[in-house]
Amino acid sequence: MSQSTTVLGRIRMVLWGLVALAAVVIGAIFLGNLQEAARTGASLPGASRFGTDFVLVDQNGQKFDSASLKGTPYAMFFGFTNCPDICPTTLFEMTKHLQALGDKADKIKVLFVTVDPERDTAEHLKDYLSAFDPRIIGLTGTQEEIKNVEKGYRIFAEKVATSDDDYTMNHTATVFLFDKNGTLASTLSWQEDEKTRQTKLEKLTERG
Amino acid sequence: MKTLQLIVTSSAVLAMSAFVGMGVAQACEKDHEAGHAQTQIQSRSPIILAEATSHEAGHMSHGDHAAMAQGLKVEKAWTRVTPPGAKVAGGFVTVTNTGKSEDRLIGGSFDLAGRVEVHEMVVADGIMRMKELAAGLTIAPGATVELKPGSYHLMFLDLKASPELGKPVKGVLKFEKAGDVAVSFAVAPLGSKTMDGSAGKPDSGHDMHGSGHNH
Repeated sequence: MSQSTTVLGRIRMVLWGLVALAAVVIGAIFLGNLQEAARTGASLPGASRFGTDFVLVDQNGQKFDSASLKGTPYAMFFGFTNCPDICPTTLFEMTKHLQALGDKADKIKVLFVTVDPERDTAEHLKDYLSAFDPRIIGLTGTQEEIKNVEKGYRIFAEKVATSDDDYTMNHTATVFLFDKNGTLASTLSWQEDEKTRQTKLEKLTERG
Repeated sequence: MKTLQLIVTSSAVLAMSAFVGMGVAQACEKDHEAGHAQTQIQSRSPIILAEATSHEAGHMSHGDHAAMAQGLKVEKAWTRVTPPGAKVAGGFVTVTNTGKSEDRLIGGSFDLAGRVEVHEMVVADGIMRMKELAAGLTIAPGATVELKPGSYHLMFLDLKASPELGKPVKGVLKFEKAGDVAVSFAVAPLGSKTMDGSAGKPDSGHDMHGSGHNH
């Protein structure tokens, strides 16, 4: 009897330990959500947590603080310059969209964030982006800084090895549109036609 | 004793549910890692393939004739102007297999590039994925395969210079059976989605000026 009580006692202790752990985990999740919601100040639970504060470096080597985006709607997308197709095409299309917006383009900001900071230095971004609308802001940083931005904006990005010890990148190609409060407002897709994308950007400038 | 049992049981359930929750939260990262490992394994093999074909190439006759005799029609080879400092470019071409046996596009060369790979690009769920086709791109008998933006493409790597608008660049397509086929890649403007440069002129954006408004 005394032996089985000891065994039961041990089991009880282990279980209580698990309960304590569960309480801590659940508590942490709740607290994290609350903090995040409080920080972004938005009401839509899903949309409010999309995005993060960041400080990166633009193509001119200047510090770019996400605080400077407050009050301005912005379009943000991710890519890299060693990309043969979707990245230059998206940059090119964004250039056309900005031209078509005319003066209204000044009401929004367009950010291109590299997922390959190893190769995409500010200097290289400057050179590369010179082929596109000068209003497009290219952003780079340390690997860690970029990882944090990717995490905050839920961006998928991974290196894929190719021949000759080289690599390419798989990454989220969606263009995210944020309103002046920094809340996700819409997205632009590679598969959409130009007119649809243009209309969405027009609307974004009007939300400003 | 019954109360104790109830507490123990309920706490066990609570603890388990918490662990399940944690597991779900981490699933994303694990998938991510697994996917990475897989692509690395897949992309190792082309190195061997590339070596094998470069040895064979020495014994093959160059030019269109060998390929045409084996029933391949190669047309619409094009590329586009790249942004300054770009190290890569996409090459596009349409290949029709008029013969009776399957062939594969396994690589090639491009005068302005250090090397050429055959790639597949897919955009699904908002994510662009690109991979080298280890075994080459199959061209079945009777089939026409179009390498085009947003799909299969030749990946020109280690670019020595940006292709210039209107100045065709010489290259070679390497097929498993047909061997080497000399091609000339036409150069379309930056951002072109087709060979003739449609959607490639910055001015075409003005057509859309004011879209979203009813005049």
